[in-house]
Amino acid sequence: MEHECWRKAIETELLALEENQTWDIVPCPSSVNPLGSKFVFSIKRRSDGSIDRYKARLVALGNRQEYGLDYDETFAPIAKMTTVRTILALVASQSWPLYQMDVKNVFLYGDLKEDVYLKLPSGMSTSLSNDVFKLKRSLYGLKQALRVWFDKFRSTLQGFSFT
Amino acid sequence: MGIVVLLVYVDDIVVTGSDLEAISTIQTMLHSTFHMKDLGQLTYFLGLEVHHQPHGLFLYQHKYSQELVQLAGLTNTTSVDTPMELNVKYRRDEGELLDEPTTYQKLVGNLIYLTIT
Repeated sequence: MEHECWRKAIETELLALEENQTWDIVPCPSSVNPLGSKFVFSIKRRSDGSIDRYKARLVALGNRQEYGLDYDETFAPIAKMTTVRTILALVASQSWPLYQMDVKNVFLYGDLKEDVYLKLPSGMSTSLSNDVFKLKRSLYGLKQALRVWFDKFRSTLQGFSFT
Repeated sequence: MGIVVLLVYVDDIVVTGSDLEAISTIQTMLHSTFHMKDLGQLTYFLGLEVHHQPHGLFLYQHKYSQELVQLAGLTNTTSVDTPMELNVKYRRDEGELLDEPTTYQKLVGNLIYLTIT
């Protein structure tokens, strides 16, 4: 019975990735050694412990990426804990409002500059056995995933053009 | 005129500042670009619990510490001031190796995080 749940979870994930235009399916160029991919499965539970949903997340095996070939810079800035505490102190002393938001599927927004090829996950195939994904957008597991997300976030904020 | 401050931790974003109008403008703009979830008032960020009180903010790490106690398998035990033997010398070639170092490493990592947060 669980089989069906996981199959559905995979379908949902692939649909979301296709809607996001994550990749083009192309025949693998002869000079390219595509990265592996796999699904990570998890059961999401509600706070009372009951099963909320079955989740499948497609990840790229970024540990096989090569510097200069399919990734370049990987650094991305992150809020430091001391900064967080400083800002919170400011919030308290100035009685500022304080909200929290989160971004869904955060790593799928980044646009990739490098050519990254990915093997189709096992169990998924096209009519041509030589087909691979050529990624247009970032995917979980890529070394540059965090950096390209931050680039996207920064350029979006700058695009809001506050004067 | 005022400022808006965004604290960005990958997909977690804290929004604050002095300009209420600009804050809600930015929130709306972010919503129109990314698939975002509004979590309302800040209550939990990076293991830090934030309790809003009339005279300020109360920060604590009860949940984080509780999970740490659970990881250590020390739920429902009594606490003492000095849980370790004093002045012990550890040597590389004495004593037995842990058969499962991962839990120990996790505990150390968690404790370090707890003290710097």
